[in-house]
Amino acid sequence: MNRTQRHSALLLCVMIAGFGFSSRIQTSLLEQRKTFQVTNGAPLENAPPLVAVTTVALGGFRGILADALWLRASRLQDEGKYFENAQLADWITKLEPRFTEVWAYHAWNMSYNISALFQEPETRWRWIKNGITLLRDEGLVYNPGDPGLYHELGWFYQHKIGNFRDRHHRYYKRELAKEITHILGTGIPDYNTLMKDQVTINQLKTSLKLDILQMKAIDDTYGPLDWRLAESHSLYWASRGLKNAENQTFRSCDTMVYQSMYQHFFTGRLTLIPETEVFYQSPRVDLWEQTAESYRTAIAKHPSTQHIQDAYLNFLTTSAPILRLYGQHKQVDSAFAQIKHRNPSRVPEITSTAWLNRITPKTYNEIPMTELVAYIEGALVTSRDYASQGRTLESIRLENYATRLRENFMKDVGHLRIGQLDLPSIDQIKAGLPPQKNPNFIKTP
Amino acid sequence: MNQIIAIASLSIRTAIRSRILQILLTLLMAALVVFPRVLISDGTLEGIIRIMLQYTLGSAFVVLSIATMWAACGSISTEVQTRTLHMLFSKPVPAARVWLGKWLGLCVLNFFLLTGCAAIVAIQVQLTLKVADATEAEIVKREILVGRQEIEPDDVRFMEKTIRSQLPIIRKQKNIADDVPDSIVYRTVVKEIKTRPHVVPTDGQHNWTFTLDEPLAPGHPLQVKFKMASSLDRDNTPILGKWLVRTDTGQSWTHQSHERAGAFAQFSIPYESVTDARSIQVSYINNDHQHPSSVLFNWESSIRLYAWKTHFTTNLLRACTLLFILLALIAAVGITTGCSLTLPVAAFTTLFFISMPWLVVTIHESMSSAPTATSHAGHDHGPNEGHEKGNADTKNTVVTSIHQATYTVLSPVTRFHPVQSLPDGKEIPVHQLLEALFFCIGIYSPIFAIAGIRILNRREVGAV
Repeated sequence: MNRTQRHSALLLCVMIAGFGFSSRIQTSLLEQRKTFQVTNGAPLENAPPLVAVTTVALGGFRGILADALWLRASRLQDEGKYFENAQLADWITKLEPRFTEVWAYHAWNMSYNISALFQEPETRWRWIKNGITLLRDEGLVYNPGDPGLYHELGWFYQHKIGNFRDRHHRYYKRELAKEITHILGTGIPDYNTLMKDQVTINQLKTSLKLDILQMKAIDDTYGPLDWRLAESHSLYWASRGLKNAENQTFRSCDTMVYQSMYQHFFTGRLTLIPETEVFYQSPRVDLWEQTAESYRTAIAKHPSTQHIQDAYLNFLTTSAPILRLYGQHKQVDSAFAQIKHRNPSRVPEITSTAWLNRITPKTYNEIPMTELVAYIEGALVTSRDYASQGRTLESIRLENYATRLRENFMKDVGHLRIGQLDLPSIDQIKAGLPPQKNPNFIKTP
Repeated sequence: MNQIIAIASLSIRTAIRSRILQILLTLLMAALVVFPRVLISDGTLEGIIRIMLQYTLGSAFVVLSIATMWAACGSISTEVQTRTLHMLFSKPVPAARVWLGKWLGLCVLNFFLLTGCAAIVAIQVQLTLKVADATEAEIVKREILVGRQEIEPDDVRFMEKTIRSQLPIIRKQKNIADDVPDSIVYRTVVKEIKTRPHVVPTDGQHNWTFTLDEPLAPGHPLQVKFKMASSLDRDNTPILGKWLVRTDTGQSWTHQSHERAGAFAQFSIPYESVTDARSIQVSYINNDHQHPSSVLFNWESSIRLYAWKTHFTTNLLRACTLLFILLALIAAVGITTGCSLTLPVAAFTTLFFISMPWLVVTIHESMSSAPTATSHAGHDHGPNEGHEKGNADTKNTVVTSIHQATYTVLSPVTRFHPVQSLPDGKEIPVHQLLEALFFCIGIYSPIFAIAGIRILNRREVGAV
């Protein structure tokens, strides 16, 4: 063995020893990463070859590559060339799989910025779905412990699809409802049957990444919810965020839970008749207690956060007139009692009836747009109940109130954006009224 | 000639036998076949086809460039190492024939590989179209699988000429000092113009004139692509407007538009409305009385006309020809560096030579966006700064002259973007091919050939 060979053999031994040593400390290092929460999720294991190659083999160079791709993506977007955007977003996120802001940015960019540049609802919906898919199907896989990403995803459902601000929001709502109906066959699942149907469970898992046990848990706590609605999905992802961030304080997901329940209360009942294009959402007064409970849970978790307490008081105040219209007097009294208990200055020395009369809106511009259908439908429900009791005059008066609310809104606002802000006709709402119960004594608003 | 052909065929054979080249060619095949299947598009057929064209041809070019560079660098340096070149020189075969033979060999190899690539791309496009929705396929054929000429408005197209001719007047009007060079005044004026958008108030109108170099192809509509902004936050409400098109032949045509601000939109002008036109005036009339607001058009990039020029197949062939010319230049650089350096070093040196034009252009662009007349005139010099300033100016002048000369010599190579033009449905004009041929094959390759031959002659390889 000459000198060079001896040197080579020595170096080889050092290398093998080095590898041995690094493999020994690797396990404990990974454990420490988990313990000290240096990363939000478990270290990447069994990652696809592309991600493994980009994160390991490229080393420090992946930053440069990611920068180049970012530059290309923004240049192409400026030039109005969006066809490459999904691919570039995929590559950039794969280069920085642990950088949650990157996932959030690209998903947001597709769902909000790019989608808004198109006129056709189909194209917009495709881009919204591209953003959701990126975050849900990949971002969360690489960052399962980051509640921020769950919140972002929930926000897409809650705001982009669930809100009315986008011109084509009804199209998105219909598409989501269609997707769920295609899988579940209905909006409110029957878990006894569903738990035995492995095909549907798998379909939910693969196409929407919905876990049936988590869905059931949510329905047990807050529901039963209509899963055709975007609010159910925002609630689902916020709950998942909370579940995955058990050791972290993350207020946004708690906020999203009660906000979603608030939306469920006011707009949780979906009337969708595909043949006649009728599509509107009206209240689920039966969810009032669960909604109130979701606020109370958030207050208990974040006692020092004043805005959650304010939000709760606002919910109690805004829900009370609706409850009265739907004949839920027990809940009205409960709301009144809770306001009195939490903030007596809001109801100084007056009766619940006086308080209700004071807060019940008289014209449509005193009512938030999302609650308008609730007032109209509520008035029609009471009107129907009065009619069945033979109280014709009061019934007509309430129907007139509902008609006036609708007509004035349509005359001033609704006609400007047909398809976005317009309301269903009185006849359509009448046809879709919830089944009649035996009404108690109902006070006229 | 026989000697050259023999050397060329030998170099092809050597290249094909090379292990690294085999790996690269496998990569090339994988890129062509696998890429279109794994890439994520925006979900439309248009997106799929565009991304297919962009990435398959782009990756093919990258792989072929690396393969050509490696094969070219190795073609002579490996023969020097294995001493087979000594045999050639002792025949005796002149160095010029050796260089030319090697270069021709690589060009022939690239020709066949590129033809194969083009065929695979064309077949894949056709297969994708076959299974697609007929309406969508029709749109793709009309919008992407064509070669259209992009026509800028006259004020953008002839901006440089117009401003340069008016520089003396501008200098006088703005009272610009004599020591401010024309180039800085020009840049300042251009910057000022570009930042001012065309504003069209309600009931107002703006006209753009487009001069056509050639008559329009019969039967093909003329397309107008535009992007506008609004002075109001319109919450995505489309803007109502009227487009009026008038030609120098007296024809006119109108189009009512209903487009959103901030997004690119387009409409087609039927051929019958612009027949025989050589100059077209396109006017936008803001008649949105429902939501009155001013409509803004970016001065430089808000509107373009697209005129049909050629079929997709012709355009694809032209793109491949351009790629072939660029690969021929890479081969020339590679062979010459391989004449004096061993393989890995030669490959890195070639890479440096190839990337130099882009580096120079990037520096030039960043220099162009630097000082303007205002900042120059506003600089206040102290009393003792005269001498230092003089030295600095001299140095600056020398550096700028060297840079300018390098830029002038090298920048033509960076003008050709065949892979970018194809997915946009933009025509690769014949004059661009001739330009590429002139610069890459007519000027740069012979320069490298002469250098390579001189190196070979000086190394006296045969005598080793």
